[in-house]
Amino acid sequence: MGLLGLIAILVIPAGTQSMTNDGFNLYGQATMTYHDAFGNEMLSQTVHNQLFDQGEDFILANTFTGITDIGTDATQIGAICLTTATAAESYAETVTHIVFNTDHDAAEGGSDDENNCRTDGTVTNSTQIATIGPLTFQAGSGTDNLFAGSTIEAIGICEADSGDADNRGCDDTLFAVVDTSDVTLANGETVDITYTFNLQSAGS
Amino acid sequence: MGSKKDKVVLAGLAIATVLILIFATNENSLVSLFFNQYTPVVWDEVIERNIVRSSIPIELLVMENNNCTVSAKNFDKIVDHQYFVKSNDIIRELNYDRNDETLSLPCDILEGDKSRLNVWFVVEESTKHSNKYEYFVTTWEETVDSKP
Repeated sequence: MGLLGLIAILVIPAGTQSMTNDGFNLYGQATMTYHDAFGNEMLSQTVHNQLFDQGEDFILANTFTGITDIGTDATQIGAICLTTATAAESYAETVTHIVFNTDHDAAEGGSDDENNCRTDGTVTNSTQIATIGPLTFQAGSGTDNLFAGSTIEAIGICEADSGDADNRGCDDTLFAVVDTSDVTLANGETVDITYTFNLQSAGS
Repeated sequence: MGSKKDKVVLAGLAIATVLILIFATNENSLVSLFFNQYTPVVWDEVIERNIVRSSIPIELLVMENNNCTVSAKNFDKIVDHQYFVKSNDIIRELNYDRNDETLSLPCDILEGDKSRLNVWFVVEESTKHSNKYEYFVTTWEETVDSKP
């Protein structure tokens, strides 16, 4: 009887039900490829994102309640921003673009003249997958995206710059954040980053 | 009497065996969950967002019998990722030396003097194969990023 009781305990469900994917995807991910100053590939990585409240509100506003709730007709998600703030690795989803920018400014120190954000002027949508990039970021000084010796702690996905220009800081909407491996860029080293947002359902 | 008792015990064991065969294969049973942690990852069972994929170039340094020491610069960036819960396991498994930036691999899995070491792991939040990882070596080719 004792043995049967033990067996009953072993075979009953453990309480962790498998969450079946009902065939609907809703996720973003970033692929980052790190090159040394000679263009040699050093690391390639693909990591999923964390969708932030500003991003969720953006989706709902554009789909259901009208874009005027967020911004102008030109508003779209189309920029990738690097941050050197360690805090970005564990942001709560309520964090806004303002905090993202403030933290990066503080982490980078010195004068804020590196354009840590780049916009893709040709964001594509193919088979329900939106793609930003690839965009190349370089470490250096003055006209580059990060100071040499800076460590990329995470990647922010943000609103596109209206002129598709590089700019300092995430504009208006922090759509998502991707926690990549920490990569320190020496002078002339680069990272190529591609972000995809997948909204496919089964059968598509 | 003893013989009758033995038959009862045998019958009980037979019933128990049948029950185990029928119900223990339920993926949510404690038995399955216990053994599942030792089985390889079935990647088709893991949704894409729960997989982190990384790769680095590795280059052959020393060959000794079937054990090869390779350079593995930037392997630290893979194992130090906060989502990689079992990173200490792969560090031990590959004899990773942080100071020398080298690790050990069977020579027969290398694809020439320079290869690509791929490390895939499942994040902790996954309901399938949580925290498991696999590594494999492929031919070295530069990654080309482009729009689909």
